[in-house]
Amino acid sequence: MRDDEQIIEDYARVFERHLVGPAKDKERRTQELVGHLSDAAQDGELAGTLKRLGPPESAAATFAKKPTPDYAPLGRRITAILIDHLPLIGVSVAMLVQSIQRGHDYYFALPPRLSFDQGDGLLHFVGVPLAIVWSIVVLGIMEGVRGTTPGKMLMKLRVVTESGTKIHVGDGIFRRVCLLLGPFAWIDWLPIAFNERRRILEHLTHTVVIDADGSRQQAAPSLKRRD
Amino acid sequence: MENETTTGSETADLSRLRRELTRGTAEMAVLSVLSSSRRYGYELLKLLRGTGLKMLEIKEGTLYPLLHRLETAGLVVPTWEAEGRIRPRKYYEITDQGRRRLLLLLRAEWDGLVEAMKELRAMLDEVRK
Repeated sequence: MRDDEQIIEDYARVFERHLVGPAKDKERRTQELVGHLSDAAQDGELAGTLKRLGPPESAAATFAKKPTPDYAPLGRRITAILIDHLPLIGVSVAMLVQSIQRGHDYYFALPPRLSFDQGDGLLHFVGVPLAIVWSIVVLGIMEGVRGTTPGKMLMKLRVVTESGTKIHVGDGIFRRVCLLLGPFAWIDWLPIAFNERRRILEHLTHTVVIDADGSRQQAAPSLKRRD
Repeated sequence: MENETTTGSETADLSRLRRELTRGTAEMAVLSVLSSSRRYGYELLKLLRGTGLKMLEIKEGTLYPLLHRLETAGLVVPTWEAEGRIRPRKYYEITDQGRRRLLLLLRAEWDGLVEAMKELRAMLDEVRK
């Protein structure tokens, strides 16, 4: 029995790492899993139950709250994007100002075109790649590790898998690679124009942006009475 | 060897059929069990796996997402109780809306489907004769 408890504890620890959302909600979901496994252990069914559940990541998908596809309000998503991509926007504006100052044709592209040609100037050669690394790699890692970015956190949004669990870092990065296309990156947003709530890359990575505030409101009412 | 292959293929086919049937009937089965009394997850799973539905492949991966969906839809309501245990246990209870849904599923949909299948089989028997 002691061994069973240890197995359950170890399994639950990894399970909880794959959950997203408020701490209280994660705690309740872990409690439900632990309760289920403890009952199975009492019945001598722990091994069979763990086999059915699969690895902790799959169990997290079983016990997590499934996101509603149209969960995140579009206005807040766009605000979060503007906050998160401030370096890219800043570089784009700076390049516009620079082109005006130098008397060139006006040049404005958002996101800016990625260029490694020194002849395009320091802003293009250093500024754009750095801003793109921030927007793709750094923000992607943040989404994989914390499930959110500074902009999304301020707007109370979160990125989860279709099963409602934490996304992988690789998916966090991949869902942003459209920024490499420069101004053509907006192609990724085409489905939104057709009343879809997910970008092309979000479909490909099976990720969803949800309203973290809303999930707290929906998960809590029935629990509050016992808290 | 050929026979074994055929048997394996038939078993896989039966298993797929059972999974599809489970998907279609799990909601009705869960609401039916909860209509008699509130239950916690493991208890519910054991009941479903141990009764006539043993032939249907209901697993945690089907049951819990379904319970959470029913919870979001307001068809069941969860309550946490410790009852002298170290850890609190989550019970699921059917709501009035859930009972109405069950009646609709059972009376209108399921009974209608069973009747339609019976009629179809009777008609085919007639054709064979």
